[in-house]
Amino acid sequence: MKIIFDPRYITNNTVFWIYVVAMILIIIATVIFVIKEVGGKR
Amino acid sequence: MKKNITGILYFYIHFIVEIACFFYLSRVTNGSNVVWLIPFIYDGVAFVPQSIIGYISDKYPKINMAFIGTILMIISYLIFGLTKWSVFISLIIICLGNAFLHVAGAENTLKTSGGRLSPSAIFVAGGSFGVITGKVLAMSSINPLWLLIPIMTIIPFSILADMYIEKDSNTDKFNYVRECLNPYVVILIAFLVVIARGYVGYGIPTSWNKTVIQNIIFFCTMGLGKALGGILSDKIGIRKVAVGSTLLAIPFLCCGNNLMIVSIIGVMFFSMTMSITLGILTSILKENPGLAFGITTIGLFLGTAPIFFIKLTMNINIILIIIVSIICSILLGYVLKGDEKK
Repeated sequence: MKIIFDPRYITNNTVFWIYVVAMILIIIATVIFVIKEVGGKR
Repeated sequence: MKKNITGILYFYIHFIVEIACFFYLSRVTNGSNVVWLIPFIYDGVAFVPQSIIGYISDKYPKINMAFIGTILMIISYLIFGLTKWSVFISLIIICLGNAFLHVAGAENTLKTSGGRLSPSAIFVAGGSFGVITGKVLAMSSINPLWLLIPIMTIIPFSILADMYIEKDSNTDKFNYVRECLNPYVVILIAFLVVIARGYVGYGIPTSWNKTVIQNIIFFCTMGLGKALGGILSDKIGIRKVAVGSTLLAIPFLCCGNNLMIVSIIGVMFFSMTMSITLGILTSILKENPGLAFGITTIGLFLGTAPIFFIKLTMNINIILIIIVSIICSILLGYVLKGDEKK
């Protein structure tokens, strides 16, 4: 599959921005889970 | 004790999952004007939530993640095959189905492995064979609804794999990391190694790879390398395999741009560390194998995300392969325990 990047997809695409925010929130949640699990055992 | 075949069972499940996903991706992106956005969203929604799904699976092991994943994949294919709804609806659903099934595979193969890496490595390897099969299948005129049949075969295979989970199945025997190290540092190192190798994986110079057959050879070698990484770690020791395969890959990857046989040897060595980073993370997060697996998939996403925005020249990629591989082998050698004779 050929990937063609066009910056217009970023600036004008609501789906893209919802997606970016969701990914950031999940990564933050993962960091919290890791701290909770590792910290709990120390 | 019955012979553990969960790795083989989940090899098949992973194979089917990737066939379904890459058949779908190849079909929806064919002629689409959002060809960049769809693979990018696929990578994120399929990879990143696996940490959350994995954490829930760790806390509530009675939830059947494989069944949920299979149902989601079936729903996605029905929407894709029978309706004219926006592609993003079926895309998000198939990504989540993929994520649930990956978590089920990781949990099952890690918990029943008795501290060995080979079952999870064999499970992971199935994906590479599925990716290329799905891509090749998408070139045909086959109706997508036919893929519901292999997708439904996941259910009996996952039930069979679940029979190997016993009350005391856990990942306590995963002890691959030096005890004196700070667990946060170990997690960070494993995470960085996954990111770095995820990125470098897309920069491997493969000008030889032009035909469908060559592409099939490329993906099959990658799958073979992933499986061998775990199997050899169990036989000769994880540290030897981690450091050795990372360093041995360098000359083959850098000199194989026009030579298929040289290149695929490099790809095979390069793929071997896949299950090793999972083993490192599971050694720290013993009670959370699902979360450990999710960390590696987030790393893979972050490693591959730049390729959607940046294109580097071949020479820069070769320099990156050399530098990143050397750094990764040093870090892996630092984190992993010395190998004991088995």
